[in-house]
Amino acid sequence: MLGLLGSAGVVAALIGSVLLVIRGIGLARGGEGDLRRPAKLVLAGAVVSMAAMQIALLTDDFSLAYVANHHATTTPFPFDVATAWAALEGSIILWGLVLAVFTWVVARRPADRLGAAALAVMGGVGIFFFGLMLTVANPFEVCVDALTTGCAASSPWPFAAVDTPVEGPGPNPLLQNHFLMAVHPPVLYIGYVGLTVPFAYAIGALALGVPGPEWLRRSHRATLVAWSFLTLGILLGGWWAYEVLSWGGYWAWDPVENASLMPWLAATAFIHSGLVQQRRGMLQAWNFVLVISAFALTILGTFLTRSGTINSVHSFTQSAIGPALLGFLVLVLAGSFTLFAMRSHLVASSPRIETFVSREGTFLVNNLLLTIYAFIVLIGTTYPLLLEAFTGSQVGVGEPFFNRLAVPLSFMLLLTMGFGPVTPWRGAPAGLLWRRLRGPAIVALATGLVVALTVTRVAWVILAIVLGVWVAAAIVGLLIELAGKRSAKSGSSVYTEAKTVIRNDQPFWAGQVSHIGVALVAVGIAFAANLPLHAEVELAPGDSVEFAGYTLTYQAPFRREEPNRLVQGVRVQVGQGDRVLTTLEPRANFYDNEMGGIITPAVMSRPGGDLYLTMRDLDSETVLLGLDTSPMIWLLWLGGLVTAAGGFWSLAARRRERVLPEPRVMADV
Amino acid sequence: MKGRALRWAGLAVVAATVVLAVVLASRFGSDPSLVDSPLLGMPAPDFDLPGLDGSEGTELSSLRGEIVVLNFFASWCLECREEHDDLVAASDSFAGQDVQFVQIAYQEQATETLSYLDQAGSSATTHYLADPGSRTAIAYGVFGIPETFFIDAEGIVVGKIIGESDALVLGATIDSIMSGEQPGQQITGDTQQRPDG
Repeated sequence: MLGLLGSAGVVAALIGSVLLVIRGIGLARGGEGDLRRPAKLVLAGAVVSMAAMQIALLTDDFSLAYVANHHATTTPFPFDVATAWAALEGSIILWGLVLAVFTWVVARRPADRLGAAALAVMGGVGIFFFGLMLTVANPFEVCVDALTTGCAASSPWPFAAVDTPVEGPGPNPLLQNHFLMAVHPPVLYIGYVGLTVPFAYAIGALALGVPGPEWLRRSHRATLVAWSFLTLGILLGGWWAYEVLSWGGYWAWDPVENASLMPWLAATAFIHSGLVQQRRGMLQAWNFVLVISAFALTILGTFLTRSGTINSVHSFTQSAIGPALLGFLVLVLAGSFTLFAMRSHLVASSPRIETFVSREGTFLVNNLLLTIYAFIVLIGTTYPLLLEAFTGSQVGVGEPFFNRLAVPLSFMLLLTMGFGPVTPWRGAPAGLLWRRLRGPAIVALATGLVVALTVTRVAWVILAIVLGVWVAAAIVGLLIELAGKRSAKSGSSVYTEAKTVIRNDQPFWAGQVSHIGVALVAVGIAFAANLPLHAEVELAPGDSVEFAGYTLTYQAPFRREEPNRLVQGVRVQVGQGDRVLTTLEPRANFYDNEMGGIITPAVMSRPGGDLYLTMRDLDSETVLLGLDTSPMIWLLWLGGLVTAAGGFWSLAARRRERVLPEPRVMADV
Repeated sequence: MKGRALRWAGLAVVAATVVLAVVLASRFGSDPSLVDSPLLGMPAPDFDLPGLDGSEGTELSSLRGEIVVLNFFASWCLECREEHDDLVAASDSFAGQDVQFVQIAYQEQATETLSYLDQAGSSATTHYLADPGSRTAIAYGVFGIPETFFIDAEGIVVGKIIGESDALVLGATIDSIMSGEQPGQQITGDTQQRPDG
């Protein structure tokens, strides 16, 4: 029953997508029609399919093969809800739903020719994803051959003779180990799918031959939404890895992680280069390249991580999703760039840059750096694949490759971030940059000196701090300068005027908030990567050990039955001097569908950093504990939040009209 | 002028896309981890590895004259856990018949593998070895685990099992090597890579 309902929803969404394409093309050519209704149909269909899946999960309806294979009656809230996107087929429902919401939002505006063309492109993307749900990744297949737990065979035909298992194995234990896993995928998907909107507008603009800034202006909010959520999604992913996987890390240059970083880098470059085109009419062609790349990278990332081409336990024989995604990727890239080549005479005509000592000049440098960055990650992720295809030899590209290249690039980006905001558009008068940057440079170097004398002599950490302070000081200095000027004229306080300065150009200052966030992340990474302590100790109950200034006392082992798992761990009291700070419970969680336990670390967060305990082995007498510190790691989480917050704050401002050059009129094209 | 350059750039990307697609598509149909091992029929790469518990290790060449069953495993690998009991049993039952079992920990801290062996049980006749820097795993082209290599008395790789093995498969393979055959490669199931990230 729910299978039928879900399938009906998918079919409705597919029909809506087809209608969007047909009517959208008609409207874009100057015909008549309304795109809101098909967009509503897509949304309704996607909502129904997601609702069907949720009801099936919440009511333990194991007649659906997806539920039978990824859910168990014992799966607690909110993981039963999250199971809807814990595996491939379900995650495509979520993808479709997010796409449908974006489509609906775009369609709410009156559709002129550009809007109609963009919706036709979004309809095309919708056809692909809803099409997947009806063919190679059908989440609503019914189980026709039940096992004791789970389902051995399924049928896409909703009226097939159902053989319902009584229980399922439950979701992957790693995914039900932490609530972050319930929020991380939706947040990340909003980021991924949101990039469809600027892509759709770009293709629409190319198809109509109107490469002017109108498509950028229309898609700017969606780009910011996508970027902010992508930022947040990457942060949550790293945080989850840190809290759940017991290796104490947050980033390993794993293909899955790279898949989210690449579109982020491209989107970050695009946000900056888009501003250049809106302000100065430059980089027209480049913006198309960036936005097509960003979108294509989301598909490539999905392909790499979902098809099993790299580093996955799933082989191709199990799913036809790989070829489907690859075909779509080729269609997107080849189609987009063919269109781009056909319109090259139109996109090429943009003014040349006058001087590199200007805002647009710094943006150009930033774009160059971000693009190289993305390219390096792309090469590192796909190189093993390409090499094997050509030579047959297998290599892995590990952290050293990425770190060696990404670290200097990140520092160069930070350096540029100090220059960018204080450099005016079109070119800076002589002496202005020196006047504005002298102070921040002195503050940054002085901070570096103090850190070197009091905290650490590790060069990377000092460099990160110097550059981080440089970025922040340049921004604060600019704010004080601008507010000071106003204050001298108006007589009101600098503080009041600073608020006015920010209010007058909130998107700019929101961007600076993101810059400060990125600087915090850089400093956090530098600390956590360069100054951690590690030890392994074997303790009997009552034993104490000194580590990183703390006294750790092994009190006793414990064992606890929870509805979906058995928890086995040890209590370790953490003290400092005479004070007892807390009791930590590093443990292993045992789930029914997993043979070994999932080692779950216990973390104590303090201003100086985290104490991170993992239980490596437990027997009747002793426990083997892994002891780690992650100094200042909270800077990394805070920085990520601040970066994303800048994006959201910028969005809040864009409701009010921004002072931008008038967009070129669309009517006469 | 500039427009033309852009057109060519655009078309170049299209061409590159097609090449990339062909390359990626060439990998469909067969799992990348399941290519025939180039080692089959070749002398087994020698190694001299320390024991997991830090004890004096084992040198492959010192086992010449005996059949060697070389298995790569780790505690994080589900299929390895599945086959573990059968490997232990096979090692015990072939003891004294000129068959040596060597199990090399793959991408895992020795302490973790050791504690896993404590729980899961181990064979007194099996050599449990550490592989610092994964040098030996790389030499044998291990892509995912479990992978089990069979080396004959002359030190030639004559067989390979990709995926979970069991008592039946192990016994049959060893028997055929004893009777002078080269069993070659067989695929019994999925292999796993370290699930970090």
